[in-house]
Amino acid sequence: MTETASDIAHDDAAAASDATKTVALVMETDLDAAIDTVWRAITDPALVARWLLPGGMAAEAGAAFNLDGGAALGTIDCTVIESDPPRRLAYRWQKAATETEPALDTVVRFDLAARPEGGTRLKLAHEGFVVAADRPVDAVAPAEEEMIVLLPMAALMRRRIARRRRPAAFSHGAMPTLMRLAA
Amino acid sequence: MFMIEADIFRALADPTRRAVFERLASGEMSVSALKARFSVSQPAISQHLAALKAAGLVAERREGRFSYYRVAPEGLAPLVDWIDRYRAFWPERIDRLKDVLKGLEP
Repeated sequence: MTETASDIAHDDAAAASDATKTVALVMETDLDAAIDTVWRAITDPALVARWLLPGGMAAEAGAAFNLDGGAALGTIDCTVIESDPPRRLAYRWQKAATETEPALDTVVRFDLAARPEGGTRLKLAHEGFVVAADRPVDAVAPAEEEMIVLLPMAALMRRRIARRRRPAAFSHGAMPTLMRLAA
Repeated sequence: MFMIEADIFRALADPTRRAVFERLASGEMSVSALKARFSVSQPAISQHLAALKAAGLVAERREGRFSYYRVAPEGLAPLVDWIDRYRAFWPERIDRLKDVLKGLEP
């Protein structure tokens, strides 16, 4: 194999544009609670501490707070970028780099919609992960939905079987929890 | 903020460069020894090594007229995969949210 300097320069130029891509984790699920109750659960600091992470929480655009992600996730700096009670809440989810971990500069979005049959549809999107351009995704959805779907259908099927002891979720025709990777 | 990570992906995107990096993972080598392994020109090898060094993936040691390269063990640290952590994190948290909601609804 021979390779000239100009070949290498060309490869660099090509690789620079597509070496990484930005993707999101997208999750949709139905909750057995009214939309106002869900809004309270995702914005009241005491409630948020019980299911998400301890620290603070705010629901006014521009407000900043921290979440304590422990050893695995570190301290997360959050700033509210959108708040439209009780439907939309979005905040930056950032973490400074450490000696062993890269910085994280992402956005978490909650979209809530009351379901006609009762309960609330939650769409959760965690956007802004930078991954290798050749990282596999399951499927590419229409551009206006800005979504590429990654993985874990097999894992999800196992999850649902394990959770059958909750028949109420099924009798409502509730949507199973889906988590997708989007770009 | 993602520049370091992007640099690493870019440096390893080239197959020859990735092979050079993998070869160095087995131990320190001189440029001429690497050249013999890969049958590419010395300038090409030097350019690959320079790119790997710029991305923090390899370290250089000079001894007289000779340069030796080895893998920088901390070089791949920026590739910690946040996505995998959060893919496990969110479904578990949403389960907890459902439990919290159960306590709030009549």
